[in-house]
Amino acid sequence: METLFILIPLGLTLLGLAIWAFIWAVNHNQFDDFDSPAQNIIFDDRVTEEERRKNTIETPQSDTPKHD
Amino acid sequence: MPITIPTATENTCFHCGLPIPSGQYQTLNIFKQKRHFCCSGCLFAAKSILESGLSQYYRERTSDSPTVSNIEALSKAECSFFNNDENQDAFSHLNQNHHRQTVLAISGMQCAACSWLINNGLQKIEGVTGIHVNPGTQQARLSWEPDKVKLSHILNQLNKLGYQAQPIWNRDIDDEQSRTYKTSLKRLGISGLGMMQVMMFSVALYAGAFTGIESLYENLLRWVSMLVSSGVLLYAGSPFVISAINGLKLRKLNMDAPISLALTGAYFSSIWATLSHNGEVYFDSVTMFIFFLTLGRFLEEGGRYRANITAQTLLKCMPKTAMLILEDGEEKLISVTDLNPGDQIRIKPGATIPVDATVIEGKSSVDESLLTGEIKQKTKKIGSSVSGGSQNIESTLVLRVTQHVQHSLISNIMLLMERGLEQKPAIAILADSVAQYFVLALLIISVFVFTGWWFLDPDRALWVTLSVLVVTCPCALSLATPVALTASSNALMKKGILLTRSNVLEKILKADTVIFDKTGTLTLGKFILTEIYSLSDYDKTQCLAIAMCLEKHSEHPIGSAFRNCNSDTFQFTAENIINHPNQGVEGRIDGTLYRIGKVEFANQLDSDTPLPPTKGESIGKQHILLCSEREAMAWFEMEDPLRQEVPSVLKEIKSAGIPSSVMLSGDPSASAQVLAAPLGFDVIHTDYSPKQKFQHVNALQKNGHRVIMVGDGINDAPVLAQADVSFALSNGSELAKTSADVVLLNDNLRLVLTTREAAKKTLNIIRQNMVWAISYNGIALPLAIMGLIEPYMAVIGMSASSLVVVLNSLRLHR
Repeated sequence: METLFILIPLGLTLLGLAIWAFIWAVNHNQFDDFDSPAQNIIFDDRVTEEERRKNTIETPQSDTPKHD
Repeated sequence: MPITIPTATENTCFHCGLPIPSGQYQTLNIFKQKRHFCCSGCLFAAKSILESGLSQYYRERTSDSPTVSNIEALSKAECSFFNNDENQDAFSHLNQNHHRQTVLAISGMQCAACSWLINNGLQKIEGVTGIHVNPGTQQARLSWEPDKVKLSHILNQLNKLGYQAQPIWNRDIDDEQSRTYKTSLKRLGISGLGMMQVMMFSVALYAGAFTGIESLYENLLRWVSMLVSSGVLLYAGSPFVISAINGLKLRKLNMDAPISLALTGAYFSSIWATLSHNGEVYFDSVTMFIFFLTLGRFLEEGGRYRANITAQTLLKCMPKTAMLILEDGEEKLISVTDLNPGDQIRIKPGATIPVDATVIEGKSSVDESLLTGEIKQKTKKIGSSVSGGSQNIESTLVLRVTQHVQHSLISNIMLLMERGLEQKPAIAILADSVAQYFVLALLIISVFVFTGWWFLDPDRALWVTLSVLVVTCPCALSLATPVALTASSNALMKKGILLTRSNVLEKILKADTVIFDKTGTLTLGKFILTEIYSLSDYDKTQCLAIAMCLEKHSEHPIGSAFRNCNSDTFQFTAENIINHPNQGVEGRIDGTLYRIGKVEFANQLDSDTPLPPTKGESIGKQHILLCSEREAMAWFEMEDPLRQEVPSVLKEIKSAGIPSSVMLSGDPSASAQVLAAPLGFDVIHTDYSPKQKFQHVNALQKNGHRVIMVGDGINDAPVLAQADVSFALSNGSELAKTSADVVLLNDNLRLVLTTREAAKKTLNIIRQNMVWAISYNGIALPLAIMGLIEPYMAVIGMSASSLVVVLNSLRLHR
């Protein structure tokens, strides 16, 4: 059980780190807007997906010569 | 998930969703389909969005975009004003990389897609180093390199995408509120983390109490619990203690008094137990208690903060700049706060007059409804005085400033507003006074319990009293209402309903009368050209082209109906244009004199008085006449169309159990009556001044009625403040929005009913919470007094009772 004398201070240090990280996040406006950053990722993703699809459709048309 | 492209019919604008007058549309190919647009503004915005490669916006948006009425780039003077270093210091600051940073107030943002569009649209500009858009607050943080890009260019780019933006002056950025928001967020986080930690230690302690624990480890666990909970109490618990002390200083017992008594009692007795190795420790309950209290308060504050910041951003869009005429006749744009009495300023038609002043040149009509509540426009000529906050309607005025902006009438409006808000019945005050008696009774009981037990068993006296204080601690009672209210206001926010006062939900169910304003509330609030009747040989498009050319220079709402039309076949340029306030416009095209406007005005050129067309229905329609010097040319039929949902909403109001619906309109024309008659109103009053509306509501209230008011205009502000529950539309005036209890963010009147339903649900939940809290206290209190409840059981009971209340309230989120 002596391990508690190490583990508890370790736990408290982690608590300190967690509190520091939380305060940092609050001070850097990470809690101001919950909606748009989450959606922006999806919007951006759809844009690139669309571009890729466009490319894959267009390239075979231009690259493969017509045979008949 | 398949991506659905919003469907736009031929009759509505693809960009802003407004109905398009028959045949008056412009088209553009988007997503391989022809799309229709109501005006060149919307078309232009859509074009810019396509050209920037951001067409994805149209797939992601969840509501229609704002109508783009003004696509004009900033004027030269405005550009140089915004790009001038000295002026920039007033609304931005240089960071260490020599980038400028500012906060922009952006109007028209409606959903997350808007913020995506703005983010991506601006990031593409070279020299923009950072842009963060927050649709919740309608603000964006922008940083840019002044060497590479000019601010005016950025603002113009935003303009092109269809959003109006203006930097917020440094001194107007209200850091106070965001600081309090952040502090309470930190308090919440820290008390939560601390609570978890202490809870872990106490699990070990409880387990130890059952299975046996060496006193060395017990002491270790108690000491670390003490350490952590001391931090939590000091940082997150202090506000409650401070508020209780402040209350006591004012000789008032607030809810915080027993809370702090229990908190400090449990805390210090635990410290004593730790130091003396005797008795129980309650650090876990102290931290848990603090966490739940902080959570409740945070939810409450957070809602108010978001509501406030939105309202304030809107208010900040008031004019900040004025065109100063220098002595040498040059003109220079300066900040309104730099205007001194004696300065001469030029006010364009359509602009808001920033300060109190006297007219020294020009003649125009001025809309003073903001200040006087009178809707009728007043004619101002040389020598008349005008007030800051009124709007110049017809033509350019030159003014001499008479008052500094702080002393101008406009600055007093907020004071007036506050006074109006104070008149509201305050249910909260009643609740507070009841709580005070509850607290007093509780304290007296505790004293009796302590003395009673002191004689019976002095060893247990302290612990029994503590469990009485903790077990009855009004936590569940005091959380019952606010948690339910905040949970439901958050849920409503997601549906586009912004509650600015939390007691709305209580009051809306008692309401038995709904009052609607007409223009802008029941109707869209703008004229749309619906039909052209040609009276002569000219064809319709030619008449329209002439009318457009003349009305281009008018700021009257009727004129703007023409601005949204389009004519490619004919192009005219007009000379000698004269605006006749409240009458019409005259001008010369190719040497011929034309007049457009009211019949009496236009037909002065042509003595024949043509009859207005009676073809079809003419309900709620206005007609204006175009005449040349030779003959009457055409009738233009205008309409301010009803919102689509209005008829069904009125029916639903009846079936929802609100017996009376009323329309109060400031519109003097008979058309208002005709428009409203078939909709099923119980009472219709037209030609009502804001004062009459106010008196009407007041009279209803004196007869015991409870009134819901729905409005949008500046003139509705007083009546909105007086009504028991008031709704403002988000495209309404800022003043209306700040005086309303509820802002409907997507302008759908059906949301009034949605709010009412949510209120019903919320009150049910509150009732359940109350029943639970009271019956819990009713059972626990006698048991605690009898000494049957150990303090640790009291704490578990208390925490569990609060948890039940919180979880029950969270059901409203679904």
